[in-house]
Amino acid sequence: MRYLSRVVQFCLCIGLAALACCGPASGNPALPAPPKKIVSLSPAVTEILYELGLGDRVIADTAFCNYPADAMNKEKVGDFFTVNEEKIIWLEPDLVIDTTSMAHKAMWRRLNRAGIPVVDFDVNTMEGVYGAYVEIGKAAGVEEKARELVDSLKGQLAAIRDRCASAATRPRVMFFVEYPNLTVVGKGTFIDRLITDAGCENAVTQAGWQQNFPKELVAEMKPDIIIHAVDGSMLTARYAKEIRDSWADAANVPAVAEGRIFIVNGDTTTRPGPRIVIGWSEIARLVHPELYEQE
Amino acid sequence: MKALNSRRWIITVAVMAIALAVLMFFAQFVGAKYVSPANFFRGMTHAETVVLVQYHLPRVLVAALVGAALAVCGAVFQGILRNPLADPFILGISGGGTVGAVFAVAAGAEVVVFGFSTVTVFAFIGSLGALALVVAFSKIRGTVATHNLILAGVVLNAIFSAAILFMMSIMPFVEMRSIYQWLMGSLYNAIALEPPQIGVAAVIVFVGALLLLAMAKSMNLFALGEETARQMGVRAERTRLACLILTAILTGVAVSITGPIGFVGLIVPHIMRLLVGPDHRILLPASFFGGAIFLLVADSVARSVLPLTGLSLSELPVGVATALCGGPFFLWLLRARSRRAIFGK
Repeated sequence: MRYLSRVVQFCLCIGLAALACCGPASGNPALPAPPKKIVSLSPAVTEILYELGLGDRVIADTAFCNYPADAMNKEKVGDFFTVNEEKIIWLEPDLVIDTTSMAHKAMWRRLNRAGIPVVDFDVNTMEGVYGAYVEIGKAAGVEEKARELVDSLKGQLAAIRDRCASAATRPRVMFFVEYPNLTVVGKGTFIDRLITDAGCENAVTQAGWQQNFPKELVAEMKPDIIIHAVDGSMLTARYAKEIRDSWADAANVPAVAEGRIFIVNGDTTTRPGPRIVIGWSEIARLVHPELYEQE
Repeated sequence: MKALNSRRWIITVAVMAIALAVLMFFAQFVGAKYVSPANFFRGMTHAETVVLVQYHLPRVLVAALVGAALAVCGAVFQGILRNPLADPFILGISGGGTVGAVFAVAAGAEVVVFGFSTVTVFAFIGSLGALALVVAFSKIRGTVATHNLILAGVVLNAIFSAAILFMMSIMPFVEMRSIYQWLMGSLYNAIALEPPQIGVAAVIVFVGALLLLAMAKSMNLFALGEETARQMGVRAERTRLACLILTAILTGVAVSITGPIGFVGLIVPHIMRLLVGPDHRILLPASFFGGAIFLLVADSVARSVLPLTGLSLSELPVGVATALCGGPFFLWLLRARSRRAIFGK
C-alpha cells in the first residue's frame, strides 16, 4: 500500500499542477468600437453585415453563410451543430456575432473570458432583425445607414402587406421547411406573420415548428396552397418536380387538386435577413397573381 | 506469465504513470492548430495561452480521467461477470445516463450541482438509476444471479434506447443541438468544466479506483467461479454489490461528462490482461493508466486529424478513433489467441 500511495501522490501532483494553471484568463471585455475583425455565427447576420457594407471586416463565418458569394470565401468556424471555438480564438477577432441560443451561452462565456466580446441577436422576429441592424450599425459606426436600411426593409414589407390586404381571397397555406420529413411552420413564428402579411392564413393552428408532420393530417387541414422552402443550394427543377410529385397521392387536398404547390428558395424566404423582402414578394406574386397582373 | 511481486507491480505502475504524464504534456499542444512545445518554454502568444489553458488542458485531463474510469470498470465487469464481452455499459448504465441527459434537455430542467451542468447531473442520476433497476430485476430469492444481470442490462438498454428515441422525436430540433455532441460521446464537453469540477471528478475516479483495487484479491477468486470464491471465504454477494456500485459511480461520472464513449472499457482491459496477466491486483492499475493513455491518444487524434489535414473544421467523434484503433485490434486478438488464453487463468 506504501507504493500505492506514492503512485497516487504522483498522479495528484500532476493533476493539481495542471489545475493550478487553469485559472480564468481575463474579465468581461467591453465592446470595441469599431470592430475590425468580425466573426459571424449565423447566415442571417452575415447577410446583414454585408448589407451594411461591413463585408470586408468579416474574417470568418459558418458553412451555411452562402450569400453574398464573397461570404463563401471566408474562413469557416462552424456549421449548424458545432462551432469550433478553438478556431475562433486562433483568428483573434474583436467581435463575435451570434443569434440568441441557449445552447451557445456557455461558449459566449468562454470567449468573453478569452477577451473576445460576443453579442447575440434574436432574429426570430422581424423586430429582432431590425434591432440587429441598428445595434451592429451603432457598434461599427454606420448607424445612419443601418436605420435607412431598416426603414427601407419596413417599407418594402409594408408594400407587400398593403397590396395583399386588397386580395379578394385569403387562401389557407401550409409552409413546409423540410422534405421529405415534413416540418411545417406553425403559429407564433416570424414566417407565420409573413404568411399573414402575404394575404394568406396559416392552416396550421399549433404553435412553433412541427417536425415529422404526418401527411394524413395535411389532407385533413385541406390547405389551398402548399409551399415548400428548399435550401438555395438544393433548388433544382428536378428536385422541385420530385417534391411536387410526392403529393400526387393526396389529390383530395385542394392545393394538390388545383396544382398550387410552390417550391421557393429557403434562403430568401426563411432566413431572417435583408433578402426576406425578395423571397416574400415572390411568394405574394405566386399566391395572389391577380394583384400583380397589371404590371 | 511471471508471478506477481511488488517489484513488478511498482515498475509496471511507474512506467505507465510516467508514460501517461509525458503524453498528457504533449497532448496539450495538439488541436485544430498545432502549438509548438518550444513556444511553451519561450513564451506563448495570448491566443496560444487561451487555447492551451481553456480548451486543450481540460480535454487532456478529462480524457485521462474518463479513459481510466472506463477501463477500470471494464476490467472489473469482465472479472466479476466472468464474461469477456462485458464493458462498463453492459448493465445499461450508459443507456440510463443518456435517458437522464435527454430528459433534462427535453424537460428544459435547470439544475446545477457543484457547477456541473443540468445534463451532467441528470445523466449521473440516470446512470445510478439504471444500475438500481438492473440489480432489482436480476435478484432471485435475494441473491443477484450473474446471467440475469447481463440479460436485464441488455433488455434495459433496449428499453432506454426506445425512451431516448421517443423523447427526441417530440423535442424541438433546436434543443437537440445542445446535446448532440454529448449523445455522440465527445471530450468536447470537457471544455465546459471549470477546474473545481474537474477536481471533483478526479477525486471520485481516484477514490473509486483505489477502493476497487482494495477488492482485487476477491475479484481474483471470483474469476475462479462464484462457488469457489464463496468457499475461499469471499462474501460473494456483498463484494459483488460493492463492486457494482463503485463501477456504476465511476461509469456514471464518465458518461455524464462525455456521453457514452465505446471500446475503451472493452478493449483496454483485454490488452492489459495480455501485457500484465489476469491478476486483478495489477490488472486494475494497469487498466487505469492504459485506459487513460488510450483515450488521451484517441481524443488527440479525433480533435486534430480533420482540421490539421484541412479536410474539415469539425472534429471526429472520439468513438470513431477508439473504434478504428480498438476494433481491428480486438478482431486480431480474437484470431490470434483462443478465448482461454486471453481470459482464462
